[in-house]
Amino acid sequence: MKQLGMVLGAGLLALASCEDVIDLDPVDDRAAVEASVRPKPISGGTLLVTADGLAVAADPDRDRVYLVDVPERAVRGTVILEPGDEPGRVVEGSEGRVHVVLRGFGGVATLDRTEGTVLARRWVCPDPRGLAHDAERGELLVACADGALVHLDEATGQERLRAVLEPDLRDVVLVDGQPHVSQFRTAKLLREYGSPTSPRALDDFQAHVAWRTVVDPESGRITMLHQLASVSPVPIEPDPEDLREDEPLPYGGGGGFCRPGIVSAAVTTVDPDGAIRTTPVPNAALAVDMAVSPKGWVALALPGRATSTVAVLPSPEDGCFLVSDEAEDQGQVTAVAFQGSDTLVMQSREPARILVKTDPFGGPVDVIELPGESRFDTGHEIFHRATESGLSCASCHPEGADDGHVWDFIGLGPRRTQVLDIGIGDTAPFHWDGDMGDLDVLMVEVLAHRMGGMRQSAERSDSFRRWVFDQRRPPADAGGDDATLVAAGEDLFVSLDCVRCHAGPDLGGTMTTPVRGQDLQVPSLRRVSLRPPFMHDGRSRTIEDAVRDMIVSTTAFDIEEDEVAALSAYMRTL
Amino acid sequence: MSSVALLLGWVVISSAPASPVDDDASAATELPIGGVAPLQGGASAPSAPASTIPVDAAEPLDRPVSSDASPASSSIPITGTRPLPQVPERIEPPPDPKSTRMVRQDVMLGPVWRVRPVDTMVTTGATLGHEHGLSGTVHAGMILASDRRQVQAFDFPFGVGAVYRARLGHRSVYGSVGLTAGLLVHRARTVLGVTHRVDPDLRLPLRFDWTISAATGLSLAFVPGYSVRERSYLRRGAPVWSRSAVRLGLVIGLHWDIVQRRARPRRQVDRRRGGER
Ligand code: HEC
Ligand code: HEC
Repeated sequence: MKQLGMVLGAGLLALASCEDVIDLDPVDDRAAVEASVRPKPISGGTLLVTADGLAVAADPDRDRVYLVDVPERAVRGTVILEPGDEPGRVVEGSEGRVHVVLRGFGGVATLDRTEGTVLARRWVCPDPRGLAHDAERGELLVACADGALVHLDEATGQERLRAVLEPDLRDVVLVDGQPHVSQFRTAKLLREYGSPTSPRALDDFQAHVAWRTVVDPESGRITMLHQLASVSPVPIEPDPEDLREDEPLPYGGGGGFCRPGIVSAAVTTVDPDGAIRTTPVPNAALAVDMAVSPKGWVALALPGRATSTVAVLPSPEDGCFLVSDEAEDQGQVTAVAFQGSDTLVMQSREPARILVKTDPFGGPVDVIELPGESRFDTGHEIFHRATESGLSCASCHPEGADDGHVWDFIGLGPRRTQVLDIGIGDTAPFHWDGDMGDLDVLMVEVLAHRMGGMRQSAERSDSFRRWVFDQRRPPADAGGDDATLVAAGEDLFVSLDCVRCHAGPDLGGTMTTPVRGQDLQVPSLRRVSLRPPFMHDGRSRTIEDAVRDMIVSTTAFDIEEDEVAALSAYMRTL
Repeated sequence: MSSVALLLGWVVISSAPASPVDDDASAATELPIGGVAPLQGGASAPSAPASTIPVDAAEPLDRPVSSDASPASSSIPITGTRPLPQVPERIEPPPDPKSTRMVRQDVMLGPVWRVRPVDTMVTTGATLGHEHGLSGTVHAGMILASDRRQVQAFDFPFGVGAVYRARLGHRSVYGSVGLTAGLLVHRARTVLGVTHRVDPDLRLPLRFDWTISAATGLSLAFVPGYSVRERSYLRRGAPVWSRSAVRLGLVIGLHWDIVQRRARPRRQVDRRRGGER
């Protein structure tokens, strides 16, 4: 009898706690597709069109460079590079040469534009990004992620000068023979000599992620395509009352007509007289490349959008610019260039194509198919395509890394975006607090709930996970520090017992531990020097600050400045 | 989030062979066979015309009428043991509610609280049994969920059970309490299409009936219900529609009684007429 009562009681209890939850978020269960070589995150800006109409399109997904005759609408040749070369920025050199940055290889390839052959390959730095040709000095300038600006003799490839500026360099442009270098995460314009400028701060927004910076050689006007990130408090959970309506709901609210959402594209012009003007493009989703025509038109490559992956602004002068949804989709455009003053040339990543429009504001699109197998990939697709909120993962994790922004998440506090391209496969749980047990949890919580994306089938989630965990860029070492100082730093790292927490091959990512009274995931220190500000709340502006902070909060020692210098030098080689 | 509920139901009560009820004047000319009307006890006074005796106030016929009999008899002067000089033709014995069977219909309207949101309910039912005492009951209904933006939901509770009815104070007021068990079928249209879910469902109706005229009356009922599973719909992780397993309905409406009597050998017509009420 007693037993029966207990069974009944337990049954009633089970019934009382019963809940039937039906998730209305649609599930994407299309078959997962994995390319034979999985494409890297988009970095954009791989297209050069010469004055006489030769399009040189670098294809980082297929390790090739295509030579296309734009007036004839014909492929002239395909230069096959080494697997993993990951060709990027292209510039026209002298005497029929074309130079291509090879990010994966860590250098520059020089091609013969008529023969379609590789004339030379030179190693420059682990992660080269920007490239400029100084015809006057016969020099190539290579801007490296680790902070080095390397001057090469164009003809011989000899290194003439290696200046170490700040880390995270992106593009290099020449104004009156003076190099100006953009910094990716901070969207600052650095000069080799002189103080940096940055896009005008807009109310409540901070400029980040300088995807592309170009210069008009005539006027000396520099134009930068970058992102704006909100500094206002961001509600990470959508308001249920808003969700009851049928409207698409942005992540963190905001957005709307000419009102950037929490992440937005923007075009900033910097005139030689110092005048700075910023034009937001609120509905661009992800904008990765930009070209400016002699008439001042600005073309944008928008690979995050489902339609209209290209937009053209008549001029970047006033108010904001909204992308119209009309244009039919001819591919995922990742690079744009103008031929002459009118003709818009676009490079589609997938399918591999060159698209030509003689009237950028309308008119037909000519499609030139490029040879090469498909690089359509589900992981890549999920990462880059914008969700209902207008955001994609790449909006905050550009190039698979991070935007350098410290978000003010309501209920969580300040949270600096974490980096993803250092091999995060063994670092679960995720997020600074470790509140995401694994990537599947994160995908539901971040992609479906916060961003309003589709839930992914198990097969697609698996494919996505493998793609994300594959992303790993090489250590960033500008070589600017004395080797003995670095070695001393490495020793200190052990003797001060930093390895207690920053353990394992990636110096972190293996445990959660209290620091300053808060349980935090110990971050991996790979490529750490590239991503100021440091710590989960961005409280350390420089790597030296971060090292001092760590000495104070995790050791019983006093700060010795020579030790800080040594440890910081070591940090810059990771 | 407030709306009203409409309760529509039938209570089926039919006359038992042993307890004929006759409030129809023309049917009163003959004493019922099995009615054992205590005529010597002066069942009713001439001042209580049979035609006005409400069904609800029927007298028990199977025992002598006395002052401590059913409260329903209170409106009929009791004459103790004094023999009646004559039985007025039109006087009939009051029916016994315990053994009276009848058919009752009702329509009721009111809100149903499902912890927070208030939805609209319509129910229909049938009760088979005694006017006073235990009866069997069947019900079916529909609850129309109020918030229809993301989830257009209907719940269909139905079930069988028992009710116990008793007269409360005034002879025309009855109270009943019941317990039914059945299912609650949930049907909703959402972006995913049409979803169905079936849960066990229990109801504990607490009901008050006022008889207005012979066959009709007002009803008020509190209908707590429990369908075991809490139900919610999520969008982006947040509940955009949810209902607790517990609900409380408050319904008000009308009912009709259909009284059936034992067939009378010589007055077939009257039974039909009675059935029409
Ligand atoms: C609004 C900007 C934003 C977007 C959009 C975004 N992230 Fe993040 N990501 C962050 C921030 C900020 C953190 C750190 C969050 C925290 O600690 O709470 C982070 C952390 C992560 C981490 C944890 C890394 C680690 O080492 O623990 C992963 C993995 C991640 N994001 C993947 C994604 C994926 C996949 C998407 C797309 C579905 C995405 N993120 C979209 C800003 C963003
Ligand atoms: C008790 C464990 C622990 C020890 C010991 C430790 N760290 Fe850390 N380290 C952490 C944690 C946790 C964080 C993240 C702190 C935060 O975000 O507030 C961190 C952050 C850092 C960062 C910034 C990383 C980023 O991505 O922003 C650097 C650099 C760093 N530590 C270097 C060191 C050095 C150098 C030492 C030795 C002096 C050291 N750490 C010792 C746990 C530790």
